[in-house]
Amino acid sequence: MSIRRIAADFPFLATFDAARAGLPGAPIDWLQAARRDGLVRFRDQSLPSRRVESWKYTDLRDLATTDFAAPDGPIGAALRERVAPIGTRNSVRLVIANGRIEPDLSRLTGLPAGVHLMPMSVALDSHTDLLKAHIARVSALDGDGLLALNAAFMMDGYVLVLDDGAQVAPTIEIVFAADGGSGPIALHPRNLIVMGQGSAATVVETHVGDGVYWSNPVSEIVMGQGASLRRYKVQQESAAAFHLAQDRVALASGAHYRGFLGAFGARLARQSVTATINGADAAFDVAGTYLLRDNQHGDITTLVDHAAGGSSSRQVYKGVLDDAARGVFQGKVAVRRDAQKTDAHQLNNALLLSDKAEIDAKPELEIYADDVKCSHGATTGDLDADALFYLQARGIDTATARRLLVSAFVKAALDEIDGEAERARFEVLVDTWLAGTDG
Amino acid sequence: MTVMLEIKDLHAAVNGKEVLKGINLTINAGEVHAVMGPNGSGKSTLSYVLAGRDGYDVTQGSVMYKGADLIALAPEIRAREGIFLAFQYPVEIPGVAGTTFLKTAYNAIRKHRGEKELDAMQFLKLIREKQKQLDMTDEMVRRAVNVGFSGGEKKRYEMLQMAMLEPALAILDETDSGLDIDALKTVADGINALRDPGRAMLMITHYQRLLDYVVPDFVHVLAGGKIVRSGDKSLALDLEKEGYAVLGTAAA
Amino acid sequence: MANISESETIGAATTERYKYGFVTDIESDTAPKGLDESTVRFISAKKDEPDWLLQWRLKAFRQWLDKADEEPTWAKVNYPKIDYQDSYYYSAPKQQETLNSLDEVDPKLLETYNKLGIPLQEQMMLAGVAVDAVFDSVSVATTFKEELSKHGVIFCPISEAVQKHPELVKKYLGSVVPVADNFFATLNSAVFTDGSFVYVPEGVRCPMELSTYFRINAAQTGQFERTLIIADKGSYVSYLEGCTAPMRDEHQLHAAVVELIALDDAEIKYSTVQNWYPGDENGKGGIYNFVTKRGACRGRNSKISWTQVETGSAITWKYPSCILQGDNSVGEFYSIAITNNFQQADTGTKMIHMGKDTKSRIISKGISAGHAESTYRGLVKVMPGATGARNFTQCDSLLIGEKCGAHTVPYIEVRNKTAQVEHEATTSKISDDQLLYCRQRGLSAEDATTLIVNGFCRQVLQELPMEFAVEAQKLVGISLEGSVG
Repeated sequence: MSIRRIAADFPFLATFDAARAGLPGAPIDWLQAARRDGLVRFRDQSLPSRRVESWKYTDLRDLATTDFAAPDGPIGAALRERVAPIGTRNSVRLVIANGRIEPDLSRLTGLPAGVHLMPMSVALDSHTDLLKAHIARVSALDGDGLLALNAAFMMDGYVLVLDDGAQVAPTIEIVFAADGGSGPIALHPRNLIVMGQGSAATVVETHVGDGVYWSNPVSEIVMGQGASLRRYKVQQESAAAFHLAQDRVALASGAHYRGFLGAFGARLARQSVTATINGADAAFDVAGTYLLRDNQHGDITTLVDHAAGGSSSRQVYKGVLDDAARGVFQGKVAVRRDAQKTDAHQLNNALLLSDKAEIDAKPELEIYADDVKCSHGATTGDLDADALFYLQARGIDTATARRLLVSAFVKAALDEIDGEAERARFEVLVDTWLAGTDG
Repeated sequence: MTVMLEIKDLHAAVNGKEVLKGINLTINAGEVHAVMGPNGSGKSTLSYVLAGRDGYDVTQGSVMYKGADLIALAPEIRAREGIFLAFQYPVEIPGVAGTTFLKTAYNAIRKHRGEKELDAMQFLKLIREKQKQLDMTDEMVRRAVNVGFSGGEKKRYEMLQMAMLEPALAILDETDSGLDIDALKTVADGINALRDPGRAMLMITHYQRLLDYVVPDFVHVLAGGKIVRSGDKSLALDLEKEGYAVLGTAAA
Repeated sequence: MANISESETIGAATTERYKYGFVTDIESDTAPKGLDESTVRFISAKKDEPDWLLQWRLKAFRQWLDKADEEPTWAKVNYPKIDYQDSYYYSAPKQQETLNSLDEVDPKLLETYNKLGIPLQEQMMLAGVAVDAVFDSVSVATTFKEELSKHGVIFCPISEAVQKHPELVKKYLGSVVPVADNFFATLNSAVFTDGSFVYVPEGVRCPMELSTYFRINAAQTGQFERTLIIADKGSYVSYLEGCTAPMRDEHQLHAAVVELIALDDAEIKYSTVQNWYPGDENGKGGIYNFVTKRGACRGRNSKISWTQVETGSAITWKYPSCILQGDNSVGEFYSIAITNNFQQADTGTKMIHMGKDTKSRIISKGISAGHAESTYRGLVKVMPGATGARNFTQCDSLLIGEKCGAHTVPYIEVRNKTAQVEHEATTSKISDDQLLYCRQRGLSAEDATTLIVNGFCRQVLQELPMEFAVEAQKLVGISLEGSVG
């Protein structure tokens, strides 16, 4: 047994054969082969231990010792009630609950021509070749056991396909809901966004749930020339949940990806993003905020691979850690030999509000081209004592003054959001979180 | 009269785009020429072509300096042969003390001329004399090259370098830009002090105000990559009154 | 602060590739090739060590055998597996046992050090710098010992300290870098040969710079120096090491351990100009420089400052670190790492903040040219008790040419909310504008590059003692030779 892996023998593994009959694409041979292949790889790799460099700061042992079962049935009424109003302002909505689409809560009509949105189970029939290629690509990736497990058990996620030149006016609202109220369950959503040349879309993903569960989503995003995607993610998993998400983004020349993450929930969360920039004038801009308290553990791990020259990337993250929360930021920018004229910038600022809070940051540059402008910065610290005093001197009590300053700190991240409505939405979430701090 | 610089039918391209489209200009020793022109007329391109900047390619024509082909020479050889470019935007070089920089340059040029290099004491004595004329303090001169300088300080530092290196041909690229009236006078005094029968100057400027203080012998108007008019100092005044618009189609 | 002018270095960077590459033809006393327990016993016997030290070495050797699989692989360096049996672990020039004066040192050795610019004869010595000269596995001479002893400062080879000051050696040896610390440190603990020992007594400001000059001469021989510096309460010492080796086609291993201890209000300034043979322009030969250096700021208000100029070695694996235990203690790391041709450097520091109000500062300048790879790897760790800790880190990398690589791998771990940690890093090349500006003033492209790189390194160069700053600047130019054009 290698020290680089954690043994994990989840109950749901034993029911693989029974489970896959109920998963999307049961009659499709190539998909079943891919699932079996994923299971074999997971049996080999298992979960990464902290001896694996990229998992140095995030420990999956608690995950490995939880008895997760396959999801069985729909989500409870209380959760359903909470999900119902999320993002109803937006006309297009896809709700996936316990690994299956919820038709009653979803509304897939009204999309413009050239834009196709559906759950994975439907896409396997309607866009077979696209899905086949996608699954082959993801299976070939150099991934860890989590990716392998998702390949074995992949469940309904969303598939968004935009034809060349297609532009979606309405924001697409995606909600993932998980109910582990009657015992721990494991969910492995698979999402795919394929964007034709010059297409544009805005997607908001919300993740919510109750009880103990593990959400292990894998998303692949393939952006054609000049495509533009705004993708916002609200992670509000239950306080007992594990959320381990992986995004793989590929950008062709001129493509522009703008992502924003608000990470509020889960006992243990990791958002990993790997972006490969394959063309000039492409831009990959991600930002986010992680606001954690109690014993929450939040990990953001990014790899931006500048495989082509003349491209840019920008990453800005702000974290606030209260109580015994622990934040992890690992951000790597790689510039390959021929990727001249790369412009890459990365910043992580963390604020510790408690004596027991911890931040671990590893911003990394790996540069093989000489004509580049790359930089990163990382800071951690407490609130500025001078600013605090200044506010107090104006008659503001300490708790309020602290909240104001924390809010100002976080809102600098929200400034990265390109879109009024979305910014307002995140502002409410941030304010709600801040109201729960005692300053 | 000695011919210092002779430009014939000069065509030059920047990143493959032709910017200079047939310049003819002769400058004799002792003369001060002003080249004026609107933005984008090719003024700065001309200065970079003469200094030998990478990516500024001569595609046609010739430039003779002191009777020899200039274009074949590396930028540092041109400098050592006496061409000095006062940059429009002097470059910051962090960590390199101004005195060190200038001493290295000064001795490289002396060595090229077969003269003895100056030691640190001799050099300091010399620079102190020159910096006084330009109203610069020891502290400014010792600071890292152009780092933390205001726009005016940068231009004065360029003039100090020119005074130290005593070029045969000085090219002053927009030396007046960003200067208030006092700084402009200081810089102009610095330039006038260097006027000499053995030295030629080429002033490149958008406005005529510098020419109130440094009166040129000849004025040329550059537009669309060509010299469209030449005359004496009164041409600059006409332009001031009428603007570049009067050049009409020639500028297009 | 050294106030020096870069222009003196311009021109020095012309044709002096590696002027220290000569071999001294001298008869030597060598241990049989290979490494087993008898090698360890051989070394210990050669140095007439007490039994406790032999046992210490043997314990280390057994631990090293257990670590056979633990040769570090995490650094961004590539080299074929080292055959630890294919090397000599002890080589000493033959000369009489005890020297009454420096005049009795073998003239060949004196001449070697003259050629290296380190005269050891009294009349020629560098004023104000005491030198310990280590040749392969032994110290061959230490200058100004008497002058120093007047102040109570002990400066001698560590083998001599074992004999004369066993209580100090026993107390501090392995107390900062434990035997089991890492593969190379464990190996060093088993087979270390010579290095310097410094003890500065309470309240003494060491009256001169102390310096050790390490020379590898013998072929196929590893050098395993061990240096131990103790600054007692309220004392100050500035120590500098230099290193060179002959040009050889084979790789030679240099695995040193350096331990520094600063007690209350004490300060140690440790500077390195590392110029081991870097290998030729095709990457053949050169020293593997796998070094563990660590300082403990044990006392309140103590300070340890590391300054390194790393221009040599085929591979450098080195992280001079500070453990900031005492309240209000200070750790500093100033580094220049220049790699050219096929050199690889993975270097940086660890700053472990344990005491209250501890401060650390990291300034790292990495320059890569040719096919070289340069990595900054550093850890800033703030423990829960380190209230008021401060760190500032700045890592800048410069790439010269399109076949090299520059990497930055900082780890920041903060477990105290009052800590302020700031990290900045940039990677860029020398701008075309800067080059043109210098060339327009008459500097050649190569001189302009040297000047700009020296400017880039200034923050670190100015931390070096005056006597060595000029040499270091020249090295910058020489190391980059052939990288421009």
